[in-house]
Amino acid sequence: MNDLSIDRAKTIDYEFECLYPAGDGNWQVTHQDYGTPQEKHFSDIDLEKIEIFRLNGKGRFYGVDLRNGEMNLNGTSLFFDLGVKALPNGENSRLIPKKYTLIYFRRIRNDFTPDGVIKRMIYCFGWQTDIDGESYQRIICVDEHGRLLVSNKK
Amino acid sequence: MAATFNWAQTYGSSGGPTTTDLGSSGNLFNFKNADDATASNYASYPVTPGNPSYEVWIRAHFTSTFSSIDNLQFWMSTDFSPNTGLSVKYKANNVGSYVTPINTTSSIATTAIPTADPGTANVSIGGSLTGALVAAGYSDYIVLQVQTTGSAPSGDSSLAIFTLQYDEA
Repeated sequence: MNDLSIDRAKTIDYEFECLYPAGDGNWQVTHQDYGTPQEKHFSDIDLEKIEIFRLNGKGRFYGVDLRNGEMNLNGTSLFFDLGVKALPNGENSRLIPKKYTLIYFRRIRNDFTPDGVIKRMIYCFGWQTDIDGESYQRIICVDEHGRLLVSNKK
Repeated sequence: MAATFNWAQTYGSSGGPTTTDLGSSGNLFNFKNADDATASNYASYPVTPGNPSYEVWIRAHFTSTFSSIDNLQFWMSTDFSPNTGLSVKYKANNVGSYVTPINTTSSIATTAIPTADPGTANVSIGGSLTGALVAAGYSDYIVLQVQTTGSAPSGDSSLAIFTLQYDEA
């Protein structure tokens, strides 16, 4: 390892866990296990089976229920209304997702100063859905202080 | 395995270029009148007011275990101070092929570098701003050049700070 390079963070503020249905109302839970030989990455998540995704850390938790799109922001429930779409006949049709696909990534910012690198990380999660051939994304980003940023993308 | 990030600089003739990892911390390169990857010798190769520096060709080099890296955003978060007579030009979108750096006005690095988060990707991967790395590799080149006017003061400038932001899954 090059000692001039940026090591991956020794720890991260929020580790993810994934809940998969295990029958009879039970869950199979997999943890990120960051920094261990068992560490999971996004590509290890079964996007077809996962139902609940959570970030845990700093005494807080954030998550998304992929069965209905509900975000849980440290105990506060949040739903997104995608609004309506105008139909050719002039009527409006409400946009209702049929399937939610998990989004998760860490946004890493490195400021390269003469004295070293200042590394900041925010944790982004949410869902993507396709309706009538158009993609919609709703993403929540949380920083180490628990500050939230909501990002919408049609 | 520890994940790592390095800035990598390529220099020399396009017929036989050299690529070296610079690291990621400290004074990694200086704009100067020489084409090499040695930051410390800038005083021997000063840029005279009214002339541009040699182009600097760098790339983001990622090695580790990760699912994907994309959405690379690069900007100069702290400008030279004072910046009288100094401007940094760049190109970072779809510079896939290396060309021998020059110390005349670049025909590649022609756009003023952003001085704030551009908000969307401005460094391409595989020729596309929506490209992604799914295994260890490099971004496309970021070509930088400082251009000066006769009003640029002599002597050392202050140090600028550059920032790279990316999404890792």
